[in-house]
Amino acid sequence: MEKTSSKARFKYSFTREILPAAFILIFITVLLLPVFWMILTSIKPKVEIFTSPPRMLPTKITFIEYQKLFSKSRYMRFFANSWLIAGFVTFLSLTVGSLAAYGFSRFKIRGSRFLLLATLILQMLPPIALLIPYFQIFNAIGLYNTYTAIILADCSFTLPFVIWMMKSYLDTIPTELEEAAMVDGATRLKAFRSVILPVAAPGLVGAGAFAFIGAWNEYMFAMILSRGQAHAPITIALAEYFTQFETSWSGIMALSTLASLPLMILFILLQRNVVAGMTAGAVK
Amino acid sequence: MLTVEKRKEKKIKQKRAFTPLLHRYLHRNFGYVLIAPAVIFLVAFALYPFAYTFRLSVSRFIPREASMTFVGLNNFAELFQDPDFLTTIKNTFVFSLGTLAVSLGLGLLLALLLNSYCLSNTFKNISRGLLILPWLYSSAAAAVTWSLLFHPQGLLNYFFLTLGIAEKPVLFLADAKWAMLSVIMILSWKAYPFLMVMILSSLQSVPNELYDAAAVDGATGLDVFFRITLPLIRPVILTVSMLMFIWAFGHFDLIKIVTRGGPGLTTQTFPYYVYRAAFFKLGFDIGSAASIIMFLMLLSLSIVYAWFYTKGGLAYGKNK
Repeated sequence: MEKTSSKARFKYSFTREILPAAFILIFITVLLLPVFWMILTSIKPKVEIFTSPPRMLPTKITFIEYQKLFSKSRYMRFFANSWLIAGFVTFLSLTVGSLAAYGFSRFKIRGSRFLLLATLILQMLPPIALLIPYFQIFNAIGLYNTYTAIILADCSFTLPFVIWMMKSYLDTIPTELEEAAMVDGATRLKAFRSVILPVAAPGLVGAGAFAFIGAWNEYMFAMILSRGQAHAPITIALAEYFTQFETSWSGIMALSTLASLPLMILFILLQRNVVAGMTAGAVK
Repeated sequence: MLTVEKRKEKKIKQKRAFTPLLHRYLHRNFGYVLIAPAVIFLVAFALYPFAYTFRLSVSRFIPREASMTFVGLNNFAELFQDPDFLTTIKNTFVFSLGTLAVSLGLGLLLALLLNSYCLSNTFKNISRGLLILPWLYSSAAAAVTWSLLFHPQGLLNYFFLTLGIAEKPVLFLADAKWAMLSVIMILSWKAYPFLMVMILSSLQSVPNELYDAAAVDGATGLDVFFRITLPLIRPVILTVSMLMFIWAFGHFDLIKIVTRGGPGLTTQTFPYYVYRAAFFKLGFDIGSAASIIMFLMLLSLSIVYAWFYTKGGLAYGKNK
């Protein structure tokens, strides 16, 4: 279909076919170099990290840094904290957010346009503006250095996004579906759970992935609301290395790879949904 | 004897008669019930803290007494008299515009490449997936990885030395001449996938008939790009550019982790100034005032942009 039309439009030529592909491959190589370098450095023996000329592939592969990471409970604690925080943020944002989105989408709410505009403006607010008040408020409540504080702080920017994305997604689902379910005797809530949710699943996955990634990579609120490794996510551990006296490059590359691996796997599995989440963020 | 039907009816009638007022109220206002948790949360954790910042910015805050006394616009005056503050504002604009320029250029170029009709869809999908990867990285991970590349004995310096661009290893993150450029590079690396994806989806929504018509009229590739493609994707480009500028303007993590304001003040941007002012130097009141100034700057930028977009005719179709 498209191929025949394109044949009629332009002549197939070497430049049109090979050149874009070559450029793309070059860009991939250059732009993903940091990623490759990070992973490869983590499995290189220490002496090979700064060779001249720099060699990309290691001659010997050693996983000793990963062994060190997994044996040190300190870093495992950071890692576990990240999972906990990101998991809760995703769960809370999705539940509260999709319920709210359902309400905005299906019910006449006075001032809904204003509220939705407000959530939009909220997203444009730089998080730094909330740094000082959060520090004071959470200290006053006595939630300093707890999971709760970090989770709530992260929800402040994931929730508006989830509401926006789910509302636009739910708007595309016809109301006939749940009306049919209710005619058959289901309550609103049951209709929501059994009929709407399965249909809205892709949107949920996209919004959830976005929330998870946002919370996992978050640094600022976690830094200000925690001390030590008790409740801090892994981004804090990575940033620590910059203030350390001794730098073991292979060690920190291993930590960095460990920190990024869950997101990369998530992305490989859910690529289309994650991209949908990205694009929904700017659709107004 | 009541039949099954009559018994059921009686039960329903009894149930309805005893439905508590609360239940009925909730049922009739179900929409509000649904949005209540979200609204309550946002009021508590977004609106209230923000109002608190406003109040702090016009007060004098003494931590030991936890007292707030109204001092009008004193904090703002103090800020504008601080030369570091003005340098910071300048740095932030440089940083934001630089990041926008690099990431937009990259994103646009990659989107155009990925939109080529001549490439197979699998190739395009895999490439797009790979090219999105940098967006997934936290600022901390990106900072760590790029520090390795920026190392005096690292990859970039190797290229610089062998290609003769520099005689001594360049300290990318510690040299006042290079620091800003380096952080711009790191942030652009993280940022370009977003622009690329947005522009790509906008490109894909351009109807093919336009290209066919252009070919029939004998348009060259360059003509097609400037006269057809660009005007159609201009709204999206402008929107995401605005978003990217705002995001880079308020970005804190990278500066804090990598350079902490840079050698001297060369990479100190607004968010980092707020952080330092609030937690190290001058106190929460001045820090809040700085946050408010930042918010107002971004707000006015957005308003100007929105005005241009709707009235000024930057939207598609109004400018011909």
